[in-house]
Amino acid sequence: MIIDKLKLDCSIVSKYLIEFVKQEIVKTGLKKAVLGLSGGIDSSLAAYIAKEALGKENVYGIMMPYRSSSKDSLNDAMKVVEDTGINYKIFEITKPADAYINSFDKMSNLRKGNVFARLRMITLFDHSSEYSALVVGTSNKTELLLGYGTWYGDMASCLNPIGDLYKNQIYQLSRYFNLPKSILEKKPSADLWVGQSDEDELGFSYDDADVILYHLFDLRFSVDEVAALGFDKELVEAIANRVRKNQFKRLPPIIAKISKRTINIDFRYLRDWGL
Amino acid sequence: MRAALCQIDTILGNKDRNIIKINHHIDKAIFEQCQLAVFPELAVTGYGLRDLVYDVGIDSNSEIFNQLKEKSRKIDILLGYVEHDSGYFYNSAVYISDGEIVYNYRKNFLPDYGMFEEGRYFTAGDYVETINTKFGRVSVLICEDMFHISAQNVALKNNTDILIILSASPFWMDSSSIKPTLWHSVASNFARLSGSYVLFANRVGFEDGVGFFGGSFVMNPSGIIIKEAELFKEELIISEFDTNDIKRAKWAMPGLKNEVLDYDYR
Repeated sequence: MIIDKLKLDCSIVSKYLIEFVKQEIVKTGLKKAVLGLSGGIDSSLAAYIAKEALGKENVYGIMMPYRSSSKDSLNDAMKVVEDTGINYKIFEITKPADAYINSFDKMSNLRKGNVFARLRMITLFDHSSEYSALVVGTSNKTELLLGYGTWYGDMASCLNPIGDLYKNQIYQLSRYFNLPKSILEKKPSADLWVGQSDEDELGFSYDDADVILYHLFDLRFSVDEVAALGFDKELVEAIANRVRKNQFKRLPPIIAKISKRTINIDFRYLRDWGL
Repeated sequence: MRAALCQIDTILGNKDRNIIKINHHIDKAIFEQCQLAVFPELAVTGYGLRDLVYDVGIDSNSEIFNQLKEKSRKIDILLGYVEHDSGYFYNSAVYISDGEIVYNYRKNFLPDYGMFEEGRYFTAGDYVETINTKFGRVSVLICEDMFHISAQNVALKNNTDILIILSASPFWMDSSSIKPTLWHSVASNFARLSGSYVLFANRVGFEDGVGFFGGSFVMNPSGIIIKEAELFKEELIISEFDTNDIKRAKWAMPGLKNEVLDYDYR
């Protein structure tokens, strides 16, 4: 199976990611993490990693359902809380979201979805200040590459342990961490509106996307070379275009260069400067 | 011989605090009666320096080394730093022994592909030297150097007894390979072909998500790891080994004896 090329050594990768969360937070002088818990597999896995890294008392899972969010999602998020023993809080975003949405005559699902994602971002960063914690990101490599997320919404975080793992690899690691069965088995959904399914919306399966992206970008295969693996060339091209069009979402805003040392162009320092 | 490999994390761009940690590890190595303490590449400064290179570069005669020179009367010390010489910067290592810097090595091969930016900031050294120490003939390579046969070839030609590699090697893996294994394989190849010990001192810690894997090791001339540090965590490992193994390995397989030293395929 071609998907086996994405096989992880879960034992080493889990140790590595636990150290990543621990060290990258502790070196800033903090010791806590806050993360959004949707009940989906990505944020659940991030919670298990954060708990191992920092201890359950130092991790805060925030559930932020909207009125129409699936009840199963909240139940699954609670299973993660019960299993890991991390702190939790339920903050329903219905009121602030509706206050915003209702001030317009009409709003598309896409706009609403972005409003939800950005309200959740506000909630997480606000709580990070309240708890002296950093926001742990929960976007995986597949969605980051596809740009299947909201800029400054769910894509915003301080550090992300799972952003270099494709969706298939998220599943491998989640099985390794023994996540609740219902989370491992349900269909992935952003749950921004009733009945939403990632794979239906994207128009292809995650496994296909993972294999195509892995060959295009990790192995630098050409579109034709990837198509020759047995994929529709139009699909491969569509995915490659999606990645290119969404490059902006993966970067901070661009700055008009005037001086000889422009931030991020030739004023170049890591974020861990002095840490 | 008793050697300490000091697998440390560093604070990016903070020489003073890194030197305190280095001194602490040297004290421990002295207490443990080691004769040599080896630190990773750029141990004084951290790795992902980018524009910090201009702030942290020091002369090889810098007073930062004074305390280490004092301690070197009890133990030989090898560590990586940013060397500044007349406006140019080098990814260098100093070997300090009996109160003096006896050798300053400038990394020859500066990676500038993938995630690496060394070629942008540093000037490359242009030779590999092998020095006589209390323990035998020592060659020093820094990380990427080891992935160049030409650098290994000089170490081989110079009849190296102990090859010491200072490293800041980042972790990566895929389904068919994993970074620590790559190092084992490259090092064991050299150990076996040259009949030498290989000491690999790699750092740990994360810099903007890049994790240095550690896994420092001492490998004997048969290519077998006799002491190995943990992955991803700071550790000081001590290994005691018989340097007579080196001559025995060379008797068993005298590769250099039949080597054509100026061999050039045409």
